[in-house]
Amino acid sequence: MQITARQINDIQILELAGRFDTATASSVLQHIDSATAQAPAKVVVNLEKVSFVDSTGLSTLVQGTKQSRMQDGDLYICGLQQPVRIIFELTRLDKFFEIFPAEEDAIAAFAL
Amino acid sequence: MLDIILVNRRPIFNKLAEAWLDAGATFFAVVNGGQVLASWPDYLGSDTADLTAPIVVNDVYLGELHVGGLHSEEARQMLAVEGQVIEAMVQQEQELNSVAAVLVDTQDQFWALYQLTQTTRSYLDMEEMLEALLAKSADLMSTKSAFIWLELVTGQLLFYQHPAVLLGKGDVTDFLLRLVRSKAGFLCLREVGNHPGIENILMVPVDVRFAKTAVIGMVNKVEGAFTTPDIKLARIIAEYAGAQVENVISYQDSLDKARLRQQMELAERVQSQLFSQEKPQVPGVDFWAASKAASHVGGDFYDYYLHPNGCLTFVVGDVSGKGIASALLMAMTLSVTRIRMQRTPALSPAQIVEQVNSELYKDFSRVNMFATVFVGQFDLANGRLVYANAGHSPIILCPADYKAMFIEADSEPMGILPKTTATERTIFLKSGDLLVVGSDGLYEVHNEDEEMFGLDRLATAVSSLRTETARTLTNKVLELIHHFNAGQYQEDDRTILVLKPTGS
Repeated sequence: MQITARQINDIQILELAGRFDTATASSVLQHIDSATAQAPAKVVVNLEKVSFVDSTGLSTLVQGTKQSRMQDGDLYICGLQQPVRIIFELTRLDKFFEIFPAEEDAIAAFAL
Repeated sequence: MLDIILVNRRPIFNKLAEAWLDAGATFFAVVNGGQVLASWPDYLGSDTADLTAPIVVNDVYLGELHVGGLHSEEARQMLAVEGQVIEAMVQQEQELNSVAAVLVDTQDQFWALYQLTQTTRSYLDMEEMLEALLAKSADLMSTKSAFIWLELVTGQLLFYQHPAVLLGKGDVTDFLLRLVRSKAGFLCLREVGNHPGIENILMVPVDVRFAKTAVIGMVNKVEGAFTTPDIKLARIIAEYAGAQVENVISYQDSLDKARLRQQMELAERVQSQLFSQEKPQVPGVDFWAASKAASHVGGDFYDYYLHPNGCLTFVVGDVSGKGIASALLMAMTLSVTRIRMQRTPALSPAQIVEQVNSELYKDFSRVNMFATVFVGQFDLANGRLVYANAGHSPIILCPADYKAMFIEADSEPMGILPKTTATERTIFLKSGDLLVVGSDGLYEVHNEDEEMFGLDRLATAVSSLRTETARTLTNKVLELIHHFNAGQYQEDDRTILVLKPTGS
């Protein structure tokens, strides 16, 4: 999996590509940890190029969201491909996460 | 030396004497100072020697050849030449002796090396092996002590010296620095200085795959100083030591792995015992369940309980992640759920989900995991199924007279929110209907082309097997997925629970 970290104003953007599963989750978590180290933690995880997310991947995103909210911020998810969207829906985690169609929507949502 | 030559090469001297006597000499003798070493026939005294030729090898005077009764210049030159021939013979003999001495030494060293390999190969414990190796090395190198310093990649330091303890860690660190600076690839100090008790030291690197730094050293040569052959020998010892250290580490590693495998197999047996062992024999319901973990232990679970009120309560769950961490949390979730399932009066499925979530939320959060769970309660009397689905899939309902459909989750998994509100739904199952509750390992399965088995294929398979018994259906679905995944690594645990009202 490839992880690209960018920053737009005070928003940390993590762009993932490939399979987000048990084998790759720990490196994503390291990026999330550093992105949520300081308050307010505003994080966008772009899953546009992610083909598969397993339960460990979902756990990592749950943890990142909890960490961000504890740091007076939030973690927004965007760019779900259809197979990935189904995984979020099947687990009903689409109700827990703030999910946006595109990265700019997620960034705009932080401005509200 | 001349006396040895006289014994070893006597025939040559006899021939020389014979020639001189034939030429008219009164005698031919080999003398050393006042001592006559040999004479043909009798030696008549040094004052009667008319011709003499010295025998000097490497500037050392060894003796003279004496001839009596001849005076010619020709004879004098002949005797001088014979003296030189004997000098060459002596020199040859000396060289031969020296080669023989080296050969004997080498043979001794080979023997000692052989003993070194024989002694150390029988040890499989690192400390014992190294002590034996160091003792033999010190013996072989004629030193007071030998030491080995191994900094493993794991951070562990192995530092042994034997038989005498002469070095502290600080000494070795200092010598290591000097070895690094040395361009020779070894450290040989005839005078050490500033290291009390250390007179001289020879240190060479050891090639060990598992070590960051590895050296072997010999300290305080018993006699004299370290020589070039000593350095060569130390390198041979180092090479052998490196191979032995790797052997012992590999052996320990395989032993650890075997122990771990044993523990995992035990854990697998314990976990399989956690699941309900006897399938309920309930009139009117054909019921079966099975689970196959991806590794020895897994995070999937199922359970069921036939309540005295005639309700069959069942649960299928999946703790996120894989392996031991999931399995531990699974065991906890299963036991907390089981207690709720067996409570009288019976708790509803939503109550079970909410209570288990409240009890385990902190534990799940601490380890950043969650569990999807489907809890169903089937009333045998009227076919009513009440269920709560917290993020779980797949649940496939195959009505007898309609196509297969999925039952979707209503609330998020357990462990996500401190308080969850589980939605409860009710459906009625009649004879011929089929309910299959699986885990995501049934459809998130890939073949060698990276194609996923998927929900649709699973629903089609279940639907085509709807007339089979619950047990056959369970086995056939697992088999089908196994074949789809053939030759590939099993990514996730696979669990399936089948419930078929039979109406009788």
